Amino acid sequence: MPLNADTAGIAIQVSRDFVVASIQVDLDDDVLARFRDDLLRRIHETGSPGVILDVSGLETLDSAEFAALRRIITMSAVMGAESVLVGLRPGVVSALVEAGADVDGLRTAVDLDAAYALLQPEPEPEPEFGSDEEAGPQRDTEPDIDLPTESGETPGDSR
Amino acid sequence: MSAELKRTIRNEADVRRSVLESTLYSREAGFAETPSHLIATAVSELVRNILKYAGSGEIRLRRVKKLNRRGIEIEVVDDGPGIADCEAAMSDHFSSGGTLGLGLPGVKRLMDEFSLESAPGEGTRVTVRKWI
Repeated sequence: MPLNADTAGIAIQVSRDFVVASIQVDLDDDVLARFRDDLLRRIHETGSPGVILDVSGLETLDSAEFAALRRIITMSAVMGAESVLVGLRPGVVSALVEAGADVDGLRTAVDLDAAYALLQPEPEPEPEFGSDEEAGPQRDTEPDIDLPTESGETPGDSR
Repeated sequence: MSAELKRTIRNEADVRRSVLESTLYSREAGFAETPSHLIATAVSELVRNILKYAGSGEIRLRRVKKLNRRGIEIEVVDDGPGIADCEAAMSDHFSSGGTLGLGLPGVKRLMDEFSLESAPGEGTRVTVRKWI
Protein backbone atom coordinates (compact mmCIF):
# COMPACT_ATOMS: atom_id res chain seq x y z
CA MET A 1 0.00 0.00 0.00
CA PRO A 2 1.82 3.10 -1.15
CA LEU A 3 1.88 5.76 1.47
CA ASN A 4 3.76 8.26 -0.54
CA ALA A 5 2.52 11.69 -1.40
CA ASP A 6 1.96 11.70 -5.13
CA THR A 7 1.16 15.36 -4.94
CA ALA A 8 3.41 17.39 -2.70
CA GLY A 9 1.64 17.94 0.58
CA ILE A 10 -1.28 15.62 -0.16
CA ALA A 11 -0.83 12.03 0.93
CA ILE A 12 -3.14 9.54 -0.72
CA GLN A 13 -3.50 6.06 0.70
CA VAL A 14 -5.98 3.24 0.67
CA SER A 15 -7.37 2.23 3.99
CA ARG A 16 -10.26 -0.15 4.71
CA ASP A 17 -11.24 -0.13 1.02
CA PHE A 18 -11.46 3.63 0.90
CA VAL A 19 -9.14 6.14 -0.66
CA VAL A 20 -7.98 8.54 2.01
CA ALA A 21 -6.43 11.81 0.95
CA SER A 22 -4.92 14.00 3.57
CA ILE A 23 -4.64 17.57 2.39
CA GLN A 24 -2.00 19.36 4.43
CA VAL A 25 -1.13 22.24 2.17
CA ASP A 26 -2.93 25.26 0.90
CA LEU A 27 -4.47 24.56 -2.44
CA ASP A 28 -3.43 26.37 -5.55
CA ASP A 29 -4.29 25.55 -9.12
CA ASP A 30 -1.25 23.35 -9.70
CA VAL A 31 -1.68 21.38 -6.52
CA LEU A 32 -5.37 20.92 -7.21
CA ALA A 33 -4.84 19.76 -10.77
CA ARG A 34 -2.25 17.18 -9.75
CA PHE A 35 -4.30 16.07 -6.80
CA ARG A 36 -7.35 15.63 -9.01
CA ASP A 37 -5.41 13.42 -11.41
CA ASP A 38 -3.79 11.38 -8.63
CA LEU A 39 -7.06 10.88 -6.82
CA LEU A 40 -9.07 9.86 -9.85
CA ARG A 41 -6.32 7.49 -10.94
CA ARG A 42 -6.27 5.91 -7.49
CA ILE A 43 -10.03 5.48 -7.47
CA HIS A 44 -9.85 3.92 -10.90
CA GLU A 45 -7.05 1.53 -9.89
CA THR A 46 -8.62 0.43 -6.65
CA GLY A 47 -12.27 0.53 -7.57
CA SER A 48 -12.85 2.07 -4.19
CA PRO A 49 -16.45 3.04 -3.45
CA GLY A 50 -15.53 5.92 -1.21
CA VAL A 51 -13.10 8.79 -0.77
CA ILE A 52 -12.22 10.44 2.48
CA LEU A 53 -10.83 13.93 2.06
CA ASP A 54 -9.09 14.94 5.25
CA VAL A 55 -8.95 18.72 5.20
CA SER A 56 -8.06 19.20 8.85
CA GLY A 57 -4.78 20.76 7.75
CA LEU A 58 -6.48 23.59 5.89
CA GLU A 59 -6.63 26.90 7.73
CA THR A 60 -8.44 28.78 5.03
CA LEU A 61 -10.50 27.73 2.07
CA ASP A 62 -11.63 30.47 -0.25
CA SER A 63 -14.41 30.19 -2.77
CA ALA A 64 -12.13 29.26 -5.67
CA GLU A 65 -10.47 26.47 -3.67
CA PHE A 66 -13.79 25.26 -2.37
CA ALA A 67 -15.27 25.21 -5.86
CA ALA A 68 -12.28 23.24 -7.10
CA LEU A 69 -12.67 20.73 -4.27
CA ARG A 70 -16.34 20.36 -5.09
CA ARG A 71 -15.51 19.68 -8.72
CA ILE A 72 -13.10 16.95 -7.65
CA ILE A 73 -15.81 15.48 -5.44
CA THR A 74 -18.21 15.55 -8.39
CA MET A 75 -15.66 13.83 -10.60
CA SER A 76 -15.10 11.14 -8.00
CA ALA A 77 -18.85 10.66 -7.80
CA VAL A 78 -19.04 10.24 -11.55
CA MET A 79 -16.43 7.51 -11.22
CA GLY A 80 -18.64 5.87 -8.63
CA ALA A 81 -16.92 6.92 -5.43
CA GLU A 82 -18.68 8.88 -2.78
CA SER A 83 -16.67 11.51 -0.92
CA VAL A 84 -16.70 12.67 2.66
CA LEU A 85 -14.93 15.81 3.81
CA VAL A 86 -13.34 15.31 7.19
CA GLY A 87 -12.08 17.68 9.82
CA LEU A 88 -13.19 21.03 8.47
CA ARG A 89 -11.96 23.62 10.94
CA PRO A 90 -14.32 26.05 12.65
CA GLY A 91 -12.78 29.03 10.90
CA VAL A 92 -13.08 27.38 7.50
CA VAL A 93 -16.68 26.39 8.11
CA SER A 94 -17.68 29.84 9.33
CA ALA A 95 -16.02 31.48 6.39
CA LEU A 96 -17.66 29.16 3.88
CA VAL A 97 -21.12 29.58 5.25
CA GLU A 98 -20.78 33.31 5.92
CA ALA A 99 -19.49 33.85 2.42
CA GLY A 100 -22.51 32.03 1.06
CA ALA A 101 -20.74 29.05 -0.46
CA ASP A 102 -23.01 26.31 -1.71
CA VAL A 103 -22.60 23.51 0.79
CA ASP A 104 -25.70 21.59 -0.23
CA GLY A 105 -25.15 17.92 -0.70
CA LEU A 106 -21.70 17.91 0.84
CA ARG A 107 -21.04 14.93 3.02
CA THR A 108 -18.90 15.78 5.99
CA ALA A 109 -17.68 14.15 9.15
CA VAL A 110 -15.94 15.48 12.23
CA ASP A 111 -13.23 12.85 12.23
CA LEU A 112 -11.99 9.81 10.37
CA ASP A 113 -14.00 7.33 12.42
CA ALA A 114 -17.20 9.19 11.64
CA ALA A 115 -16.22 9.27 7.97
CA TYR A 116 -15.70 5.50 7.83
CA ALA A 117 -19.03 5.05 9.57
CA LEU A 118 -20.71 7.26 6.97
CA LEU A 119 -19.20 5.37 4.06
CA GLN A 120 -19.51 1.86 5.38
CA PRO A 121 -22.85 0.32 4.53
CA GLU A 122 -24.75 -0.46 7.68
CA PRO A 123 -24.88 -4.17 8.32
CA GLU A 124 -28.31 -5.62 7.68
CA PRO A 125 -30.00 -5.83 11.05
CA GLU A 126 -30.70 -9.43 11.99
CA PRO A 127 -34.40 -9.93 12.28
CA GLU A 128 -35.21 -10.70 15.88
CA PHE A 129 -38.12 -12.61 17.20
CA GLY A 130 -40.79 -10.48 18.74
CA SER A 131 -39.33 -7.30 17.29
CA ASP A 132 -42.10 -6.85 14.76
CA GLU A 133 -44.15 -4.45 16.79
CA GLU A 134 -41.05 -2.38 17.54
CA ALA A 135 -40.80 -1.63 13.86
CA GLY A 136 -42.81 1.29 14.94
CA PRO A 137 -45.18 3.90 13.75
CA GLN A 138 -43.27 4.56 10.55
CA ARG A 139 -44.59 1.33 9.21
CA ASP A 140 -47.56 1.46 6.97
CA THR A 141 -49.87 -0.18 9.42
CA GLU A 142 -52.39 2.55 9.64
CA PRO A 143 -55.82 2.00 8.27
CA ASP A 144 -56.42 3.21 4.77
CA ILE A 145 -59.21 5.47 5.86
CA ASP A 146 -57.95 8.61 7.52
CA LEU A 147 -59.85 9.08 10.73
CA PRO A 148 -59.89 12.46 12.42
CA THR A 149 -57.76 12.49 15.56
CA GLU A 150 -58.74 14.07 18.84
CA SER A 151 -57.13 17.32 17.85
CA GLY A 152 -59.17 17.34 14.71
CA GLU A 153 -56.21 16.78 12.43
CA THR A 154 -56.29 14.16 9.81
CA PRO A 155 -53.36 11.79 10.04
CA GLY A 156 -51.50 11.24 6.88
CA ASP A 157 -52.63 14.49 5.41
CA SER A 158 -49.84 16.05 3.47
CA ARG A 159 -49.61 19.60 4.58
CA MET B 1 1.89 48.49 18.01
CA SER B 2 2.57 47.26 14.53
CA ALA B 3 1.95 49.79 11.84
CA GLU B 4 0.51 49.24 8.43
CA LEU B 5 1.48 46.07 6.66
CA LYS B 6 1.94 46.38 2.91
CA ARG B 7 2.48 43.54 0.53
CA THR B 8 2.84 43.41 -3.20
CA ILE B 9 0.88 40.64 -4.88
CA ARG B 10 2.44 39.18 -8.00
CA ASN B 11 2.10 35.44 -7.76
CA GLU B 12 0.51 32.54 -5.94
CA ALA B 13 3.21 32.55 -3.28
CA ASP B 14 2.38 36.19 -2.49
CA VAL B 15 -1.27 35.22 -2.20
CA ARG B 16 -0.50 32.51 0.31
CA ARG B 17 1.85 34.67 2.27
CA SER B 18 -0.66 37.50 2.52
CA VAL B 19 -3.36 35.08 3.66
CA LEU B 20 -1.10 33.74 6.37
CA GLU B 21 0.06 37.18 7.39
CA SER B 22 -3.47 38.52 7.58
CA THR B 23 -4.39 35.69 9.94
CA LEU B 24 -1.46 36.56 12.19
CA TYR B 25 -2.13 40.29 11.87
CA SER B 26 -5.77 39.80 12.89
CA ARG B 27 -4.82 37.63 15.84
CA GLU B 28 -2.31 40.24 16.93
CA ALA B 29 -4.93 42.96 16.53
CA GLY B 30 -7.11 41.09 19.01
CA PHE B 31 -9.42 39.00 16.88
CA ALA B 32 -10.29 35.51 18.06
CA GLU B 33 -9.37 32.52 15.96
CA THR B 34 -12.56 32.12 13.95
CA PRO B 35 -12.96 35.77 12.94
CA SER B 36 -9.33 35.94 11.97
CA HIS B 37 -9.94 33.04 9.61
CA LEU B 38 -12.95 34.88 8.19
CA ILE B 39 -10.66 37.83 7.58
CA ALA B 40 -8.01 35.59 6.02
CA THR B 41 -10.61 34.06 3.73
CA ALA B 42 -11.74 37.51 2.62
CA VAL B 43 -8.11 38.42 1.97
CA SER B 44 -7.67 35.24 -0.01
CA GLU B 45 -10.63 36.13 -2.23
CA LEU B 46 -9.43 39.68 -2.75
CA VAL B 47 -5.79 38.99 -3.52
CA ARG B 48 -6.70 36.08 -5.75
CA ASN B 49 -8.84 38.51 -7.73
CA ILE B 50 -5.73 40.65 -8.20
CA LEU B 51 -3.84 37.73 -9.69
CA LYS B 52 -6.74 36.67 -11.82
CA TYR B 53 -7.82 39.99 -13.22
CA ALA B 54 -5.02 42.50 -12.80
CA GLY B 55 -1.84 40.44 -12.66
CA SER B 56 -0.39 42.42 -9.80
CA GLY B 57 -1.43 44.75 -7.06
CA GLU B 58 -1.06 45.51 -3.41
CA ILE B 59 -2.65 44.69 -0.09
CA ARG B 60 -2.48 46.95 2.96
CA LEU B 61 -3.52 45.91 6.42
CA ARG B 62 -3.98 48.38 9.21
CA ARG B 63 -5.59 48.64 12.58
CA VAL B 64 -8.44 51.08 12.92
CA LYS B 65 -10.48 52.60 15.72
CA LYS B 66 -13.94 54.06 15.67
CA LEU B 67 -15.35 55.44 18.88
CA ASN B 68 -14.63 52.66 21.31
CA ARG B 69 -14.36 49.95 18.71
CA ARG B 70 -11.17 48.45 17.44
CA GLY B 71 -10.81 46.64 14.21
CA ILE B 72 -8.89 45.98 11.08
CA GLU B 73 -8.98 47.68 7.71
CA ILE B 74 -7.82 45.97 4.58
CA GLU B 75 -7.24 47.77 1.33
CA VAL B 76 -6.64 45.81 -1.83
CA VAL B 77 -5.59 47.88 -4.81
CA ASP B 78 -4.64 47.14 -8.37
CA ASP B 79 -4.12 48.97 -11.65
CA GLY B 80 -5.87 46.32 -13.66
CA PRO B 81 -8.63 46.67 -16.21
CA GLY B 82 -11.16 47.63 -13.55
CA ILE B 83 -14.74 46.53 -13.25
CA ALA B 84 -17.22 47.82 -15.79
CA ASP B 85 -20.34 47.01 -13.82
CA CYS B 86 -19.69 47.14 -10.08
CA GLU B 87 -23.30 46.43 -9.29
CA ALA B 88 -23.23 43.22 -11.31
CA ALA B 89 -19.92 42.22 -9.73
CA MET B 90 -21.58 42.50 -6.35
CA SER B 91 -24.47 40.26 -7.24
CA ASP B 92 -24.34 36.59 -6.35
CA HIS B 93 -23.60 34.19 -9.15
CA PHE B 94 -21.94 36.87 -11.19
CA SER B 95 -18.54 35.89 -12.43
CA SER B 96 -16.36 36.73 -15.35
CA GLY B 97 -13.51 34.59 -14.12
CA GLY B 98 -14.81 31.06 -14.15
CA THR B 99 -15.45 30.67 -10.43
CA LEU B 100 -18.77 30.46 -8.70
CA GLY B 101 -18.77 34.22 -8.50
CA LEU B 102 -18.97 34.39 -4.75
CA GLY B 103 -15.88 36.49 -4.60
CA LEU B 104 -16.97 40.00 -3.80
CA PRO B 105 -20.41 39.38 -2.30
CA GLY B 106 -18.79 36.67 -0.20
CA VAL B 107 -16.15 39.10 1.01
CA LYS B 108 -18.85 41.60 1.88
CA ARG B 109 -20.62 39.01 4.00
CA LEU B 110 -17.40 38.00 5.73
CA MET B 111 -16.57 41.57 6.72
CA ASP B 112 -18.49 44.35 8.50
CA GLU B 113 -17.84 47.17 6.07
CA PHE B 114 -17.17 46.99 2.39
CA SER B 115 -16.48 49.49 -0.33
CA LEU B 116 -15.64 48.94 -3.95
CA GLU B 117 -14.21 51.63 -6.20
CA SER B 118 -13.50 50.74 -9.76
CA ALA B 119 -13.95 51.91 -13.30
CA PRO B 120 -12.82 50.49 -16.61
CA GLY B 121 -9.16 51.28 -17.17
CA GLU B 122 -8.74 52.77 -13.73
CA GLY B 123 -8.00 49.77 -11.60
CA THR B 124 -9.86 48.53 -8.60
CA ARG B 125 -9.78 49.37 -4.94
CA VAL B 126 -11.62 47.31 -2.38
CA THR B 127 -11.62 48.50 1.21
CA VAL B 128 -13.07 46.32 3.94
CA ARG B 129 -13.24 46.58 7.70
CA LYS B 130 -14.05 44.22 10.46
CA TRP B 131 -14.62 45.14 14.07
CA ILE B 132 -13.66 43.08 17.07
